Amino acid sequence: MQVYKVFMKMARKRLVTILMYFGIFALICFIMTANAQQDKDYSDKKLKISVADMDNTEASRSLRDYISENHEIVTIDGGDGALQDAIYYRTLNCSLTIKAGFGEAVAAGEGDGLFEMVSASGTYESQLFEGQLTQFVKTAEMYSASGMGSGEACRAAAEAQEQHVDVTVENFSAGNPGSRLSYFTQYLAYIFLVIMIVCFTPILSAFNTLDLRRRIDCSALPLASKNMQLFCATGTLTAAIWLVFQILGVACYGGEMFSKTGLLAMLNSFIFMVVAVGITVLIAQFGIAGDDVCSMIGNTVSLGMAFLCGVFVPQDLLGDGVLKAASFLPAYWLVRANNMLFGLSDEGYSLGKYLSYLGIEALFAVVLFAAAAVVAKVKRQSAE
Amino acid sequence: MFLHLLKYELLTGLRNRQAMFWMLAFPIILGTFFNIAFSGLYESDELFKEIPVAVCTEQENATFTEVMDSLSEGGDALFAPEYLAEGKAMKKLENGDVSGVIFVNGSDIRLSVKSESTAASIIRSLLDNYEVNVKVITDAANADPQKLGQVIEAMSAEISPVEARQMSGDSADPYVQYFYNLLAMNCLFGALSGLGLVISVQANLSELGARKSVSPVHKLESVTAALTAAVILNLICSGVTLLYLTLALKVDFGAPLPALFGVTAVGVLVSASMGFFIGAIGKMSEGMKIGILISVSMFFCFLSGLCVGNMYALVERYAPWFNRINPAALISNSFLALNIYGGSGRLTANLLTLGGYAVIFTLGGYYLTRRRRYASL
Repeated sequence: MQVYKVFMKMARKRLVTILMYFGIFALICFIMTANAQQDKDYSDKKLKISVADMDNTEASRSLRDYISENHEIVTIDGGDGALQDAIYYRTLNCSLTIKAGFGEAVAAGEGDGLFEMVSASGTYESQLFEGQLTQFVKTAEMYSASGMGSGEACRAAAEAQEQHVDVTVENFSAGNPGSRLSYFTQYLAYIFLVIMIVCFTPILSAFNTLDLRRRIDCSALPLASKNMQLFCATGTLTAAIWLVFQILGVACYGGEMFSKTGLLAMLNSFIFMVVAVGITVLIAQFGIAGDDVCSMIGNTVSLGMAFLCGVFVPQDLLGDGVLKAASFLPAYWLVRANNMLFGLSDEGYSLGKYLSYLGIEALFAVVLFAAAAVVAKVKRQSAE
Repeated sequence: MFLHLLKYELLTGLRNRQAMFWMLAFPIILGTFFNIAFSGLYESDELFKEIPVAVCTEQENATFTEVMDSLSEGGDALFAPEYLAEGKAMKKLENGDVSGVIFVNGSDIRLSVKSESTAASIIRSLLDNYEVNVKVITDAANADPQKLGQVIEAMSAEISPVEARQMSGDSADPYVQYFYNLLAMNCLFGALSGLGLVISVQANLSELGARKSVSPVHKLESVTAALTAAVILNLICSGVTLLYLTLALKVDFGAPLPALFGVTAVGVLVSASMGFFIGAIGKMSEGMKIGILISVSMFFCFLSGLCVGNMYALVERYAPWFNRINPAALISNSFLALNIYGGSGRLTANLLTLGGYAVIFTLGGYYLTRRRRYASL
């Protein structure tokens, strides 16, 4: 078991790097969990709005109350600069100024130029809020036309806005749509790739260096045993890393990990882990030994695959050309299967289709291991 | 002699494979990935376009049809309705071809959506308007039927109560900030070349440094040549990245290229001097110093929003002082200031702080490297 033990010793030296990646990933998971929304009935989009009331009448206060009931009122200190920053970073959707004379204008039925609004113009959010304000003013003016004073009309308008049509959220996915678990299982594609390439390529490469290989080959250890020990060591560490991340998943998402959706997602991540090992083994055959070079390759391959395949940005938002190119990469199929499972894409869930995507990932793994074997053989023959 | 030293420091820096990857290749690769992921995201995800909806009519509602038609006409149409049977409509909803399915059964109106979204809220809000108008007219009719005409007149009136005040920036695309932070990271990674070159003039940290120490060249001259070479190399790498992003990837930074170069140059001065300073501290190995430098740089970049878009705003909310001293945040915020304010007191304050860093790091570096003597190496 010398080869196995040496492999483990070398892996132990990289424990800090693995823990660093794990720590960063865990931190992100905890942040996501803290912000997680529970499955609930339909509710309208709540915007972040700042309100400056220059009118300060009963009418304007009623409007302000209506806004605070339907949206989150935020206060931005620091003048125009802070306001523009907040809108740019979307910590504020709209800044509304109720102009002086609002109440009188409602009473007089004058509906133009009552508010000044700063927002990222032309966005869905500004359209939604502008529509709601317009409807509020129109309703208040209708009540005003029916004989109410402006304050009473605005109060009645706020009450009237509670009239809602029934909304049903249709669930076309296998599990809880929009679950935070979906992001966890999706980001695993990136973290598995980067950890495997950065940490394990140098170890596997070390066993492929000419001198070490010749030294082991001329020992009493049969080649099959050496390969088996390398296989077992890689398998042990791969399984351990995969398991640790699943435990993290259980810590963050609890029982959802053991639901049908969670188990299918775990299977998906396991197959992708095998693909990541395949990529690592293939890279290692090219004799790349330096930590710095492995770090460059690991970061480039993992980030490249993550961005191209829709790990960080939804696949729906990527161009057709990008998606076509990405379909030649394994992470694309992990993300596609994951999106289908959690209802994040337009694709309706079916178990057969899901398993076929996992099959494509498995085929990638087979091709990668076969390619690694061919490269290893060619290199060995050329060295001899 | 200075130019001779500078030439060889530049050659040494260019041959530092690791530093050149992180300073030049990595930002270009990452920029390309950012562009693949974020280009068009603002237009497709945030900018309003008419919302596709399916309408399933079980029992005709003439008023609703009239309202829907009026909202789907003209250049500023809100909806693009399709009148379909329920099965087809639900299939379209499942496939994401429509944002909602509206069921009309006389005066009973229902909505089905696939998920909560702003588009779904807009559809619901518009459908609610119909219900609200019905309620107001009913209330008015119950209270004083004689005023019903005026109420209906008020309902039909076209009003525009909101006056929009535009932000002054050229680009409101929030995803551009990833590129601002990429440039900031590019500048800070330039510290690697500053560090490498300074280590190469210290006798206790490199063999090259030992060789240089026994030469008759004044220490100040060799250190200055190393620092100048680091600045030039970093400036070239950051400049190439900036040109690649603006000219090849057509990223709209919302500011003229010379101004962007100006901010980049200040960032480069800070990073080169930071590398120089960290390189001059103590007797730690080069690997350890590189580790510290990359960790510190990535920590700064993370908190300025390289990985999470609104991180700058989050820090601004809980620890605004940190944004005033974080070099990555100062650099990226300077680009933002150029975009949304076209330059301002904020930009000046940022650049002055960065300049202050450059002066402190440079003086500190000189102080730490001066008058070093070695009894034995």
